[in-house]
This record gives sequence, structure tokens and C-alpha cells, in this order.
Amino acid sequence: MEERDEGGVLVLKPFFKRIDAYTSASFKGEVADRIMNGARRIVLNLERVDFIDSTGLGALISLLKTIGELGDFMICNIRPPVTSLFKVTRMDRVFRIHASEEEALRAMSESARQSQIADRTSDG
Amino acid sequence: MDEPASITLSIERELKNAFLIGLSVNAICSYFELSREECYKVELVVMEALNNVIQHSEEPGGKRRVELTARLYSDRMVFEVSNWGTVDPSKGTLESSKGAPPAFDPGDIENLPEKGRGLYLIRSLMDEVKQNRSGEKSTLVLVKYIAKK
Repeated sequence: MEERDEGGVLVLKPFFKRIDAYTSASFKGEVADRIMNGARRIVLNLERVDFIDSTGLGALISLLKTIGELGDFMICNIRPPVTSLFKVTRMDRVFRIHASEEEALRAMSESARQSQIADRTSDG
Repeated sequence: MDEPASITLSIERELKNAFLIGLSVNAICSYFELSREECYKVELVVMEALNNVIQHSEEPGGKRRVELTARLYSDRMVFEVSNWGTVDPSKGTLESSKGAPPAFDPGDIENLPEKGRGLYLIRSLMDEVKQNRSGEKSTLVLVKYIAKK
């Protein structure tokens, strides 16, 4: 999995062309390892992924739950056909999905800023 | 008489082989000029059906084969996913599927269901779905209508 750090945000770009019943455990393991190692703000770039099935979607949901309220998990560059899976299962209401990596990183930055404001408000 | 072109593909019943059928289905749909989104949806449905059979069926006599037959008419594509044996009813069947995705609250991430969408996708993305059984052979018939040229 290709990865890089962008100001504290881990950007992951899987090499998987398909996240399906055969590959999803391996995909999920690779991302979960990063979370176990402390990654809390993750942008997942799916531009190389041409196919996701319901098991792959389940893996993404599992990762979202693993990060939970500890951090932020955003997805970007979903190929247009695959977007229909998120729509038909209504998971587009659950995941924070962005058209590009730049847009996801901006949203991540804004989310961090809002969290800091909330923390200061609750402290003070 | 609308004689269909047809092809039957057979794989050993293992998840690692299923994508080969998925790719073939996508290519067939593409040839018939379905949009990329429609090609993906038909491939998705066939893959969900294959996954269900591969993961949940029990076949007698050590048969470990799954077949896909595609019949291509001028106005519709018919995909038949066949296996030999029984599907464990506790794992969910087409008949038991409610035709709706699992209920969830988008604000309650912790309790978001991770499974249970496969049969819903099969039901919702195809125009017709039916299950046939003949002896030990069980076939899921998936129909997608296409615009006549």
C-alpha cells in the first residue's frame, strides 16, 4: 500500500484493484495495522480500485468503526461506477467521501480545527 | 425466435477464482454498450451471488464447481449462477431476504452493520431474480433488460 504523511494525516493509496470477498481481509489488515501503530487521521485514496463488493464495503465500515471517535477517516477518488455501491447501500450518508485527495486533506484540516475549538470550549 | 448467444464459465469453488467470472461479465456488459455504472452493477450482483454460493453452500460427493451461464438476448441478459448442493439457510437465502439493506443510524457508527447487504444488492440491482432447483443443481437466475437496438 502506498502511503505518505501530509501534516499528520496518513494518506493511503491501496494497490488492490479489487476489494472483494477474496481480498478484503488482507486490505483491512493492512489499514488496521496502521491504526494499531497510532494512525488516527487517515485519507484513503481509492483511485486504483475498480471493484468493491459488499464484503469490501464491510471492511471499510469495520475500519471506520475501529478509528471511531479517536480520529478521522475519509475516502477520496472513488471511481464513478463504484460510487453507486455507496449510494445504493446508503453508505454515502456514513462515509466522508471527497472527489480528490486535496479536497479530503482540506476537510481533514478543517475537522482538526473544529476539534481544537471544541476542546478549548470544553476546557474553558 | 430470439435465439440467445450463450457462454458457460466454470470455476473451482474458491473465492480466489470468482473475479475471473466477474471480469468476464463486465466485458460482456460493456460489449452490449451498458454504461460503466451498469456494467459494474451487473458484475457486482454476479459476484455477490458467487460469493454466497462459494462461502455458504455444501456440495455432496466432493463436487467443488460453480458455473455461470450467460444468455444474451436482443432485449435482455440472463445470468445463471449454478452450484450443486445446498446453501446453509442460516446464512440467508434469497427467499429470506427482505429486499432492504440492514437498517442503520448514520450517526451511530459503533453499531453500523458490516454484513448483510449481498442479497439486498442482488434483489435491488437486477430486473428479475429467481431461484430454480433441479435435483442437486441449484440455479440463481438474474435478468437485466437492455434497450433494443
